[in-house]
Amino acid sequence: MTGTAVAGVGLVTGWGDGVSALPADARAAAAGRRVVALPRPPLAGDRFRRATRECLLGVAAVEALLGDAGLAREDIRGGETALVYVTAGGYGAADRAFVEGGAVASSTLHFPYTAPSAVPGEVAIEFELTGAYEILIGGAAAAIDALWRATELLARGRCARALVLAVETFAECEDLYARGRWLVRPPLVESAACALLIPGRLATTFAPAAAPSPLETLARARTGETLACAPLIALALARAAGGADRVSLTGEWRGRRAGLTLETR
Amino acid sequence: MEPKEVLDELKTILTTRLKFDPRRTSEMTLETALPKGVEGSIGLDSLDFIELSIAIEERFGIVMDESQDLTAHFASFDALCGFIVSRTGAP
Amino acid sequence: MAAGAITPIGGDLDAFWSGLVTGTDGISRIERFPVDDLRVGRGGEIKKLKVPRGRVPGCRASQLLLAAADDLLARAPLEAPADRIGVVVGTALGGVEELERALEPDGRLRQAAGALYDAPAHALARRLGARGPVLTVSTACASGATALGVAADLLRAGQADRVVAGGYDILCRFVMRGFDALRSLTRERVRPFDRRRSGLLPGEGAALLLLARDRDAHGPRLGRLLGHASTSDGTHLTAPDPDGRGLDVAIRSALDTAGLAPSDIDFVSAHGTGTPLNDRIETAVLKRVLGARAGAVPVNSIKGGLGHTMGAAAALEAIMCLLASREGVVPHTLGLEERDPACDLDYVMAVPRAARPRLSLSTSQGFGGCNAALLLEGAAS
Repeated sequence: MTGTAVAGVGLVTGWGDGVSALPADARAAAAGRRVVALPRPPLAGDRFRRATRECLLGVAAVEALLGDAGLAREDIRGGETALVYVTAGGYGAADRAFVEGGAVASSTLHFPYTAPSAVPGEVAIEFELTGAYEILIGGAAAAIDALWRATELLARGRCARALVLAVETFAECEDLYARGRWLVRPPLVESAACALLIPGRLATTFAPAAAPSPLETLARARTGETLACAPLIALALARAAGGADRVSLTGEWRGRRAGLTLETR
Repeated sequence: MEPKEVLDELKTILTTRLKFDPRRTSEMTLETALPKGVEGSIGLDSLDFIELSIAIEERFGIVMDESQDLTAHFASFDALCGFIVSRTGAP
Repeated sequence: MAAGAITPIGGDLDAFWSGLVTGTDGISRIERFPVDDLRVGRGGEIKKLKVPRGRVPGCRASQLLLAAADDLLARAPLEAPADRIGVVVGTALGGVEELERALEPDGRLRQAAGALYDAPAHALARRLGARGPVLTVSTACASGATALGVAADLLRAGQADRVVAGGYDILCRFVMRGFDALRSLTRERVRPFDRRRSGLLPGEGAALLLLARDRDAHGPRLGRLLGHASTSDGTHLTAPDPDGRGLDVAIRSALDTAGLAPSDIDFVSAHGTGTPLNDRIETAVLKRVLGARAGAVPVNSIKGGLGHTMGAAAALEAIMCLLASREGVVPHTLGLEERDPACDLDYVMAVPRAARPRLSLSTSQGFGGCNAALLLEGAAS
């Protein structure tokens, strides 16, 4: 099989868990709020005591994925599962705390969490992932690239399945994002999403896109601005709607719009 | 300083610097093992130990010699308190 | 096909190579920002950065990247339509200094856009007139390697006809404070594989390679990228897997994708940061992978004179491998004077060695359990 199929998508957003929590009109539902925030997931145990909110959201997204795909942790553990992580600014909160924070936040335990690789790092530790591993930085177009990377890794036999994970938080840097109004449009909605890709029948296509796909427009209307999470949210919406077994995803970032078509089950 | 006082200070460090839940730290005793991999330990890894060392240096005014192997002193609270008391004791 | 660079030991590709073979030490006391409150205030700092001409962002990371690009373009034209030129760069810290500036008490709040880690890559794309795919990879200190691998895949998939790929990172207070807090900095020299090694020092730099598909490459070329892999340790957030399993898998995967075997490797450019842990674990992995030949394959690390240039490191090391093939000289491991008995591979020490590797393995590791391996073939002389 040379194609790729989507076998599940896990999603948590500032609106709640999954697609069913999304409002019909995110702008209206935001009622003037610039940021719709996600609380820190209440994950138990000392293991997560020092992890940042973003790391825990990454773990929560993978847990949600397992639920959606009907899988257990054992099904993704090991060297046959690739992890591709993408984010535009999911390291901002940790960076800011490190710069501003004084003795406690500017400490040994905090610095490693300022790296973009901290989120996939904690996810890889938690779910014992030891396979192919890539991390991209950017908004929705970068998430399309990340999905493409996953399809490549599958096509090349570098993995038996691939997780594509995106996490975005905004609350701690709300004032900075406000200055970047030309780049990001409110409401900024914190999200974490994870898709599971497996070998499929239908070949994927990856190419520049001239215009947003209907799914891109729908995802923005129902979620708001979610940067790298947007294409994965679009995927979740497509799956929830059922029907089509081929989806056309697009994502734009800094003037480039990328597109990917995928089979979905 | 008495070992009990040192233990209380260490518990404060564990809560404020190592981010343990206060209920967890209140349960810890002198016998509690520290390093990850030891049964019943509180699971500190290398990152935690660096943070802990820095906090101890700052709080107790002692200097950890990086070239020495201090592993034995970090095996349990008992060992660590003993180490700190010996370094801060009257000459 | 061609390369450009800016480094602490030389401001362009030729000076970089010359600095490597003459054993230039690019480590110095940092002058660009305050370090007096830190335990260690030394690193591989680029002292004289000639800001590229024209419209250039004020951000140092972008300036380094553009300087490397100018060096590259002076050596080879891009020769492809704008929408067929791609950019893939790796970075550990991106434009984090822009965030520092934005948060200064007396600083203006700048656009959030400039502080996001992919901003410099887009500045580079604008400079090159590249309108194809623009990607920023951030697998910590393995970023440069992952970037080169992704770039090769873009070409193979027909998404671009030319890709400018590599990596960059700058020295800034953020990174000095951070590594200081981790107690991973040496107060002495960077001594990869030396029994007295005591830690790393960060450095800054940018390195870019111009990649094209084999059949599209005209004229002189530096070599070929035959295989690549990036893998996860899944064990610890900062320390490498104690058995180096992730790196082991990366090397074997890269060899598999290239259809090669460990016995084909002529030379290894190691990650070799000079920390007690990294060098020991990396040596163990190389011995396992190379097997019986382990003692006969030359190994080096160039971090002794550059410092650890993070996102730029793997790209600089890839360039070094290709130049070694072309020049018939393997640079020595600056800082290595007394081998650690536990590190018993054939490290190139003291002076450069006359050798012309055909196939080089370059290894890299980074925070978050990142591992990467590149297989590079030198151009036939």
